[in-house]
Amino acid sequence: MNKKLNEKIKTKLKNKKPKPKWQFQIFDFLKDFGIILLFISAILIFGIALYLIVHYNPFFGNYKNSGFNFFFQIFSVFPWELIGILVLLILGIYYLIKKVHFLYRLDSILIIVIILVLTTSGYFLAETTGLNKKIAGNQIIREIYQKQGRLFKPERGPVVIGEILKIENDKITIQEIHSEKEWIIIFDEKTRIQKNQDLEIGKIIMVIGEKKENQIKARGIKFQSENFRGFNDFPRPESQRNQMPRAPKPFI
Amino acid sequence: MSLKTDEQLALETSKNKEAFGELVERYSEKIHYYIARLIGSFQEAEDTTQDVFIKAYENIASFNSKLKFSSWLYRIAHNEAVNFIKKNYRYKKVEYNEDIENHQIESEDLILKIIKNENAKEVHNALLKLKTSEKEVLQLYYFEDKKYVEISDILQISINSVGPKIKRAKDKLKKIIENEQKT
Repeated sequence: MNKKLNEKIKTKLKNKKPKPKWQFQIFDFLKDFGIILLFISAILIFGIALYLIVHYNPFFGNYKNSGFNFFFQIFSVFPWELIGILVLLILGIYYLIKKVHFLYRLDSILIIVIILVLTTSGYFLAETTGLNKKIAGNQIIREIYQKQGRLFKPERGPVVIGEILKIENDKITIQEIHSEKEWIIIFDEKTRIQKNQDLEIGKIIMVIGEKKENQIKARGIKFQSENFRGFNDFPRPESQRNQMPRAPKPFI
Repeated sequence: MSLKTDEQLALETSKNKEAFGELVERYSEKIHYYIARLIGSFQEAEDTTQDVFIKAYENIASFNSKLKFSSWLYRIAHNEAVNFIKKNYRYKKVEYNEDIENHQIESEDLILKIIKNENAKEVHNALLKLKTSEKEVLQLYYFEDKKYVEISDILQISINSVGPKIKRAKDKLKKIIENEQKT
């Protein structure tokens, strides 16, 4: 029985040839390259996500007076998509590492911990060398930051950013920056207005509240924050361009 | 048969086809029985065994000499057996085949120790009721007499997880046999 099987195998092998070694070397190289590429992407995404959490999330003291529920803000501004991408990248690295000779012998938890430590170390290295700062100035990355500021996107959220044109007893007229549309902002004693700031004509404010036709019943009014990234990228009237305070250059 | 190690023969294969022929003689039977136990069919295991050796021969350049050749070959056998099971979707519920059980490598058969009063046929039937992963880990450890590190290389799992997997599979096997005794 065994001899018969051996003969069958040997007969089949007669027409076969071993694949050349370079094919496997290329495959190994691609695997290693893939791991490095995924690591770099993970470090980048980690940097952006961390920036957004620290600079946009109310958990770290941003937008305290915006009028929204604190927990709603935390979850609304949290960069879920980026965290999702980061998790996928880490799983991808894990999968590829498991394919590298002998590394599968390590515990899965240990591999994940190593990946997290390397990603975090990579982030801090990029921070120290100024690489993060350079990357943050990139147009694509800036757009990601802007998209992530969900609560502060005028076209989607109940938020309008505009210049004060007129102040009356219980209402303000503002001109929205990116559309030039005029809004009447109605406020009362319940409206949370950022402390230590006075409403003055010409100031840029962010209003959060309920929209109805050309009126907004304000829940919160906040003056334009120096930390509001990408603000200068909104298209705005020529007449306002020189009056606008310059937002600081992005940094991580 | 030469006195060369498996690894030496594997490295020679690209220049000398005969070297691989010797590896076929050394391992064809073991691989055949290994696959037969996994897929539950002695006849169909023969075809899969042939595929294993053809694949091993074609991919011999990818063999890393730091690894044991047997582990590398069993890895291919594992993949082929798993593919076969996936394709056929179910286990072939084969009749008890004495040949399969007679092929136990002469190591201490701990499974039989655990279930002292059972005969090989009942163990064989109970093994068929385990999942592939459970069956495989028991088979490699008890029937093929592989060490933890070799099992880790064959199944590509961490060394630390091998022990608990064996224990879990053993407990499950014991339960199956106990349940069958009751009924």
